[in-house]
Amino acid sequence: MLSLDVLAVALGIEGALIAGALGGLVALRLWLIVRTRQVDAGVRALEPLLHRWLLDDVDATAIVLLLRRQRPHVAFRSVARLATAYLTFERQQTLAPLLRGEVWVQRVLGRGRSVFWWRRFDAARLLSIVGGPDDADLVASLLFDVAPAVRLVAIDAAARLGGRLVDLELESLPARQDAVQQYQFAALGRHPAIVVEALLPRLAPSEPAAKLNAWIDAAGALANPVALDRVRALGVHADATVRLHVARALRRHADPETVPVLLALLADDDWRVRAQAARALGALRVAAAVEPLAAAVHDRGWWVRYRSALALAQIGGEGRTALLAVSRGPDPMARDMSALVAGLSSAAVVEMSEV
Amino acid sequence: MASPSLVVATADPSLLRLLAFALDQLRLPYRTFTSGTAVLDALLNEPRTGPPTVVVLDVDLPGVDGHAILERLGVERPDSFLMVVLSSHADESVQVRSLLAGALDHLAKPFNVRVLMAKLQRWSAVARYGGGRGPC
Repeated sequence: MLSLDVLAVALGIEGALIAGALGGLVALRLWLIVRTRQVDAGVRALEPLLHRWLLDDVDATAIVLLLRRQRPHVAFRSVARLATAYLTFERQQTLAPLLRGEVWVQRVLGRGRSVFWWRRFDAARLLSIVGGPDDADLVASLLFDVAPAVRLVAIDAAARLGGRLVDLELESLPARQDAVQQYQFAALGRHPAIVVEALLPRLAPSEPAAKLNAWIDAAGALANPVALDRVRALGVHADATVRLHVARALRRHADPETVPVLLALLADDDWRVRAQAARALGALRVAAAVEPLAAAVHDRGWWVRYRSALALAQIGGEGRTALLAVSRGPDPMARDMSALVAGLSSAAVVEMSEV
Repeated sequence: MASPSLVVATADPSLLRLLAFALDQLRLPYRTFTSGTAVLDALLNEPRTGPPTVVVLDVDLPGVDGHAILERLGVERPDSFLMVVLSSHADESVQVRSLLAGALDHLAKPFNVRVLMAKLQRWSAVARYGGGRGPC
């Protein structure tokens, strides 16, 4: 009898726990639905006003007043959803000082040091739209947050604010994963003048190769001629990985002085450097490189042959003629590669050259 | 001289509302499409006479994507359209691909809507007086 009582009590407790958990899940779901609907309504209310402001039909203060009447989370999410998708940086710059003093903005930014990562994420996201010089310390802490999602969003805020935050971001580049680096380059590219100023002194041969490579990649992503002039001078670096990154970055430096550097890199001892040099010569459509590229289609390295054949196809005209000549030549490996690339459409050549 | 027609194709409802609002302000008549298949069919069936149609084409369309539409029109209806491509991707390769396929311009989102409207006004004028010659 006693054991049946214990069993009944245990079943009762278990049932209550399951019912409580299910109830909690249902309540959470309902809460999320309600919040989503509130945000959707906020976006619908903000959107027409934003459209009118984008055409200078109303003043930005009308947007500020509308957001002030909304709940903080609705105002924040409406701005985050619409601003990042439809506002250019210049428009964000106009709106930012008007929003910065608003109560709802202070409230969201106040969560920047919360123990919950999703609150810090919200703060970082809002900082990337409304952040000002006074927020530099908060952005710096979010830039090195333990949560990767927060760090990613903080990159935008740091690039927006410039100054020592850009220095911090550039210093953090070599330690980042490739995908994060790409995101960083995109964020940095929105503020080229500030970033190039911070980048130039770093493009020096005395810097460690690992750091130098990340900064060369940044210069390449920015496609800034002054930074790429510095990169070009690193084409004779003793470390092959640096020369590899130089060759890759120079594909965005359409300058006559770049050509001899790339031709020298096409004859490098390291096949990775030769392949990237061929890619850059193709991207820059260097007609003077047709002969060395045609010779490189006979290279012992598959990637060098592939990149050289693609480069000839990109150059077109003389390049295509040289490619067809190789496809009829005696070297079977060069013949196969040139026949493969000669059969590609121009759109496929562009696409494959970028991969 | 007949007015050139203007076509807007995007699957993003908010962007469509923004462009519709801006075009209404300018009193430019336009047609809208939200799928790649529908806009491709409509453009292929456009009359071959008269000024070229100005097309604002979002790359991210369901059915047939913007690049495929550009390439198909470049083959089947060259000189019939003035195309401006909108894309979330600002990558060099995506822009080069659009322009080589015959687009007049490539705008990465977020773009300045007033600048786009100024371009559309200019291209509509070019289409009206340019003798029906376009790059695509």
